[in-house]
Amino acid sequence: MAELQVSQTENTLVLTKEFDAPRELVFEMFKNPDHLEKWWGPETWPATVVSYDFVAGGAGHYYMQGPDGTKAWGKTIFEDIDEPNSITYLDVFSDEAGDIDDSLPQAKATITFSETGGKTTLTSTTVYKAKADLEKVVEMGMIEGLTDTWGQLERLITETQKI
Amino acid sequence: MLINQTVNYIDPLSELFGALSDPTRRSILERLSQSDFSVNELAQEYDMSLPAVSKHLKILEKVGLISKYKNAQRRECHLEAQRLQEATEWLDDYRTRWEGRLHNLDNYLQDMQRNKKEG
Repeated sequence: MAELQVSQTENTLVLTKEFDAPRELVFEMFKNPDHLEKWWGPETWPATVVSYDFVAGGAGHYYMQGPDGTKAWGKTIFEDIDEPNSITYLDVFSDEAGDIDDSLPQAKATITFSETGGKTTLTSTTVYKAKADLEKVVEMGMIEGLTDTWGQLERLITETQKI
Repeated sequence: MLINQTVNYIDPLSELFGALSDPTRRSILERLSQSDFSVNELAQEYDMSLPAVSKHLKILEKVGLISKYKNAQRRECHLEAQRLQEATEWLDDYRTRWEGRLHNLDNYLQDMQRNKKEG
């Protein structure tokens, strides 16, 4: 099991992980909602897929349910699917009816699958729209009195000018 | 930990990011990061009518990014930096969520392949 690699630059997050499994099988984990449900949510908030249309222009609609019964709804809108090489989708917040909440943070991600010697490397590249907005706030100037979390964001942004 | 984070996504964050998505409001926040300013001073700064700037300030106040107080005759605005931090925390949560997912996926794949061989 190869270690997860994480890198963040500007408003992009890249995650890379190697799986000891053939590419078709790893791709199947995203394509088949019965499989997807098994790993999408953490143990405390398992996922249930309500509808799943795995085609460009289609969407997956799901909720994650917490221990107290609270449901958090989400949707993955598929932009491009190139089986078994890549999936590009928009990760959005939704409600039970499937309507998208535009004001909530959105992330656009592309996942690629490449196989070498029976092992599959998955690379997930996510671009945050919200981070770009936040970035602009930081670029405008130093905000005093914040703690490590903010400092962490600053380190991730390539250019900051301290006042 | 994830429980609190997931519940936080629903309402408070939607408004927070909505407030941050406007460039004038971001600029106001940047001014307030330097010092407190009165509503009138901000209106002059942005060459905006008082109602127009008040509208922006109302949104920022509603989501808790600024607070207002009275200083003699002036209405002063103050940046609440803690709220900005919550927005950056969401971004950290996103990454953490995906790290967890990929870990789950790894375990699931291994179990599945092991069961196939034994089955």
